[in-house]
Amino acid sequence: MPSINLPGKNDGGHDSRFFTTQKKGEMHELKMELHSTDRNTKVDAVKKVIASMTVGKDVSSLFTDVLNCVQTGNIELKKLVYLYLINYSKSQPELALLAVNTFVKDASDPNPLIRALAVRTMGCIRVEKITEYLCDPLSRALRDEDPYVRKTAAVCVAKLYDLAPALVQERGFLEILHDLISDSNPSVVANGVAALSEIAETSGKDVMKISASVLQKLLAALNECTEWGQVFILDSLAKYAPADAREAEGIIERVTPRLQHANSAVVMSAVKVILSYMELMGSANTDTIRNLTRKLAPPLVTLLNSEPEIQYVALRNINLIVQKRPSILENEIRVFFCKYNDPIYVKMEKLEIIIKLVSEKNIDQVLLELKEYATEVDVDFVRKSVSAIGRCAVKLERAAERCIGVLLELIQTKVNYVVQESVIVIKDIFRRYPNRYESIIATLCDNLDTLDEPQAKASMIWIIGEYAERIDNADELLDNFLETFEEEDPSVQLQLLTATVKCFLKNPEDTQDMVQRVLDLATEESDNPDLRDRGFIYWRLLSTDPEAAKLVVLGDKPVIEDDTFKLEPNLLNTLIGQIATLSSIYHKPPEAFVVRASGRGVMHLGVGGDDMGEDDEEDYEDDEGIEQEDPVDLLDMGGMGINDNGAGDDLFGSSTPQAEQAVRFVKVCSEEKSGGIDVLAAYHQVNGNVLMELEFQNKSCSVPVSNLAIQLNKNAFGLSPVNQQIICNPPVQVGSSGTATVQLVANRSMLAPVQPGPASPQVQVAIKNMATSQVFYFAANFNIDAMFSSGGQMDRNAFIETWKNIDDGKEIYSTVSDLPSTDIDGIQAKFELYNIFFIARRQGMDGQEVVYFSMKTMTGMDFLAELTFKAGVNACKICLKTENTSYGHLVKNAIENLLRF
Amino acid sequence: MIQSLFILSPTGEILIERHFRGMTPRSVCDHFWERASVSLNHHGGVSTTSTVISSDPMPLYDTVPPIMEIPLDGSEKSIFLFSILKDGLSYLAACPGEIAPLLVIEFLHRVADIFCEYFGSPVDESAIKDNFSTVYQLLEEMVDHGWPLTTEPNALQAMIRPPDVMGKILSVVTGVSSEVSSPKAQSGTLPNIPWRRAGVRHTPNEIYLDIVEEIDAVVDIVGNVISFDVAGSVEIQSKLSGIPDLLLSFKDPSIIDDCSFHPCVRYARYESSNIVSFVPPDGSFTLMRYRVKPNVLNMGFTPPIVCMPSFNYGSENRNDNAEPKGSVDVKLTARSISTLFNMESRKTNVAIEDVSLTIPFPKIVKTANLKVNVGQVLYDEASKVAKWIIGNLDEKMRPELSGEMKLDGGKRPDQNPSLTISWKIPSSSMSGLAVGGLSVTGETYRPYKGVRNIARSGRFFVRCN
Repeated sequence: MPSINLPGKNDGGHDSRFFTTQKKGEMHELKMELHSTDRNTKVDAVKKVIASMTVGKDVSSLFTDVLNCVQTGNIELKKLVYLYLINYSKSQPELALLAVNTFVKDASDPNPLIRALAVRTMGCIRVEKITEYLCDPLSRALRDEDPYVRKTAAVCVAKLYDLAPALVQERGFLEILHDLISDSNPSVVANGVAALSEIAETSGKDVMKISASVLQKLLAALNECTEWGQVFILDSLAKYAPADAREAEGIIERVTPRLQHANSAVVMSAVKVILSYMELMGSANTDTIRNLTRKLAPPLVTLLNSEPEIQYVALRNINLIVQKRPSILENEIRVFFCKYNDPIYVKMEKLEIIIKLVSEKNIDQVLLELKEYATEVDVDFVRKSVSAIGRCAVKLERAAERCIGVLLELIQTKVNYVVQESVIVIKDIFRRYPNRYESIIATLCDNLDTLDEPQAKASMIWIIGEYAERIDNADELLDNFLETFEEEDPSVQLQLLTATVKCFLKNPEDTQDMVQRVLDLATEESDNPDLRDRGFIYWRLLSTDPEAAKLVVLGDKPVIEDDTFKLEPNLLNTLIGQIATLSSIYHKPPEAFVVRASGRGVMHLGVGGDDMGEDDEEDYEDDEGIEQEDPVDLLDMGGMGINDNGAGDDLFGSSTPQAEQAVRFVKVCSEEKSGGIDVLAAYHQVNGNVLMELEFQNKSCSVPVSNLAIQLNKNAFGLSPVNQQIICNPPVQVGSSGTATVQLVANRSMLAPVQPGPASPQVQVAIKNMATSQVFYFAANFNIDAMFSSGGQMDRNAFIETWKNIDDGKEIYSTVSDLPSTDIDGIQAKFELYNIFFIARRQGMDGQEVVYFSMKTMTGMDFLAELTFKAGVNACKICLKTENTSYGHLVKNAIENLLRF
Repeated sequence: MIQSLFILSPTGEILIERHFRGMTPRSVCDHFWERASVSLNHHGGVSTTSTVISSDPMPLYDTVPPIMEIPLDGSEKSIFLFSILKDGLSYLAACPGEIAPLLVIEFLHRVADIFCEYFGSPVDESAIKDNFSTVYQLLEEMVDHGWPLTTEPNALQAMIRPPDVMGKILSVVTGVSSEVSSPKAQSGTLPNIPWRRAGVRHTPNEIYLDIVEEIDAVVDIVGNVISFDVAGSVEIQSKLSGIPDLLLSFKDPSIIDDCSFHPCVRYARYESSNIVSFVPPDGSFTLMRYRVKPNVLNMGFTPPIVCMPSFNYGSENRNDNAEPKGSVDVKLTARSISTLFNMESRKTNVAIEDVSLTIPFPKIVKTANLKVNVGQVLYDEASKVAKWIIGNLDEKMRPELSGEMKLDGGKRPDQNPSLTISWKIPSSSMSGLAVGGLSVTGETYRPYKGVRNIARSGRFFVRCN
């Protein structure tokens, strides 16, 4: 059939033919076709070019020829040409600039699709030069009458921000994006929100700040916009901290219907908003919270009816949710039972959740299931199921016996890996319930031959050693294992050594030879330092004091615990706020997923990595250097005994109970912004509480200021108010002023995302005047000394150790001159008041006095300071060392300030 | 956000590659394929037979987690790769940093669904290659700057015309590429109802509504139901002109426990009055999914089919050198006392449609020689899966499968794969959910309305031990 081989056209709409033209002179032929006057030939030619592009061929030489085709009224052809342009604009931006005129022209085409296409494509060309051409068309497009163009333009603003953030601000595009949030078309709203959230994220600036009016717009848009837009909006809401429980409830009410959305991403983001707000509502609203808990279960369960990939993500999140709020799903364990054809990754996650939800109510049902799983095909799944039975036993004391029954049944199947896994978990059960289930040891011993994996062998040997007195032939059994001692895995060798020694201590007569042999093997034949060390220790113990050996080797072991709730509470709290993100999949804090700013971070890392080796060497040398000096230092410090005492006395004398931290008010908000109230703020610490003092000066607010609500944005210190309500009593009338105290707590969930570089002292505050409903915003810089903990006194040795261990690169220096006083004792006393603790003081050379201080924030960051004074000089040199380098400058500033006043 | 999207063929070849912000090296796909192909169902290759055996093809791999962190060569960075598998194709999305995982996975599914809508099911390698320029155009509309945008089929159709069969035939005959000669299409700008195309015209106007209930169950070897679950959905095929506003009510809405809706449904209205009020998309869509209140299901469930499998692997201590053999026998019977048949249908002969049975044999089975008295049986040597297609089943029939298995050594099987039965029963419902009324407002015509109930098997297993 020769006709089939005729050039491509005959098989019609089948694009696949474009992949097959592979002959010599192809480029030339394509060139010809691109210039053809026949429209169809042209389209086919462009398709061929793109097909070549897809399979990785370089067709950039055809750039001008393809570009030539853009002058067409045919939109498909235009789209294909644009597709080509976007592709090459990345690798060859200079070529793309050739097309600028076309873009500009198309951006005012009567057809909205073409207008949008032009703006979109221009945004994709990441060359700085293009920005000057882009701004005007973009500005027009953002106000275009056609929603399709507007929504494309919204995205384009985000693209432009990547390239030229200053330009975006200059042209006022951010404000226009804000306007788009209340656009009449849902798709436009969605893209507006998406663009703003992304800009907020990449810039670290709060361009997506949610004020009362924005909040209303977002909630309204939530009903209208596309499902993807809903995800963006919900994610923004999750970052917002409602002013009070009432507002939180109000928002939750608007969000709850999203739990019924068909799109699982919408559902999960809604769950996140609700869970985060539940945290904020605290325990006061138990009824509301119980209600919400009830509402959350069904949508989560419904997600398990979706595609396996969705189930997987849902299960990873549910894993967190059941740890935080077990009550939500406590009655739903059935839906986590594995189906035969669930993918393995789903089964494994379901098992985890089954173990977390198992209780005395459902254990029988769970055991039946787990037993069934133990006969399935996948070895990993079977092993995890067997292990789960053991974990149930460890978790539920009352059900332990039933669990052991099931394990024994499974051992009878003689399936190799089932037996081994069973032995491993039975060891854990023995450790959890000592001296209770030894009757089954005989059964275990029957299966010794099956064991060939180190972990299983080690477990069995542990059991034999631990219960040697109950096993008639314990010594024989161990003897069998000893025959192959040298070939065993180190973990087995260690257990054999210990078990033999246990056996000897319990039954010295029959096992003397054996213990001698194993000690020889361990200490003389082995290269493994752990084994040798343990061998020598046992040997010495046994030869010097057998009674002591008994105490050590046969001593009580700590009872093991059920490890099913294993996420550390702080991490869990952080992760609950990160539901529906990668953090929640990997159960790692969000910092792990921060994309570092363009390339710089990587460069830095790369250099660091290279330097590592050298650094190590240098450090090593440094260490030696310090070691020579250090003893002197140590002696010096130690020799300061008298000084120390003196300081101690002084401290005692000066830290009288009346002494309080001075409060330094700063004006943070002026009357124009707040409807007639000047606000002054200060931070200090009283009785271990961080307080924010606010002074309200009512300049022109006709309604007396009495009832306010305060809210802090996420900040570098994780500060948030304990109570959002501020009451001024008596009310502050016009012309007068009043103060209020807001107690703050540091809370991990309020920590601003970690930014590279120094942490910002800024704490952004929103205050709502309940009487006038006006909300005003300001920033009040935090002085970190207000959160130094009273437990920050470091032991002197620990101080020296820490000081040595902190890399010199992490030192911060500064000099403060014009001190009001250089009386070191006085400074010491003042510092003590701010929980900056005196460590030691020594005489340096040339009449220098060097004083060391330690401080620790309530969030657990340590800072070490060295202050050097010189007699007759009214200045002080500060050297600060810390691992928390991004906060170093704040502490340095704090010390400077304290020295100055 | 999504940096790049790849579509891989069943042999790991890159079919489609699209970068939305910055380039992702192709090596990422190699990493993926390395891990995926380790767990291919068959010996390093791709099953071609399994599609014959099973109407929904067996997945090629199912042990690759849907999210992977893949290190980028020559850099300390890594990238997160999301993957789904559909009709043998792997859809991959590469994301450089934090992103909502469900957003990506839902989006990938949506992409695959849209391709189905445009190119027909299944969307396999050749469908992608045949339509690659449409694929690129669709991706352009569905993603911008790495964000999912327009994924509503109706909205997309307003901008990109689906390749229609007539056009294809025409182009084969005339040799003219159909996409170019299309006169209409792409007229559209964005409709204000994102899920509905503007200017829809149909004659006649019709709407079909199916209440489909899928029953998942695990049944033990003697026929006891160990667990069962009902997942319901309301599927609609709408061919209505203009912008019709529909109201759907149920006779007894209290049956519904929890539901999720298509974006077109007005939540508030359902919340307050249990009436589903919506402007439908044009074409087929799932209006809602629901779960049934536990108390409705309290009376239990009697399956419509009894399956009695029996596997005999011979005696364990054989001494002869003959090749070890075992035998298999599976009997099926329809059961009119099933919960799924009401008094009415029991009077006549009960009928079950599309009955089929999948038997995965244990690893120790080398080969099986199977016979059936009804329907046909196919045995896939490589995957050791037999599929028995019975078709319609009534009470009088006694289908039986029997045969011999050649075993590998004299061992006992160390696993007991479960059998899967699938079936469908028209005009049947587990929950008894029924439509109370369906009315159209906003348009003057009176459409033809078709409503029916269907009960069918979901994941329905019979355990063999």
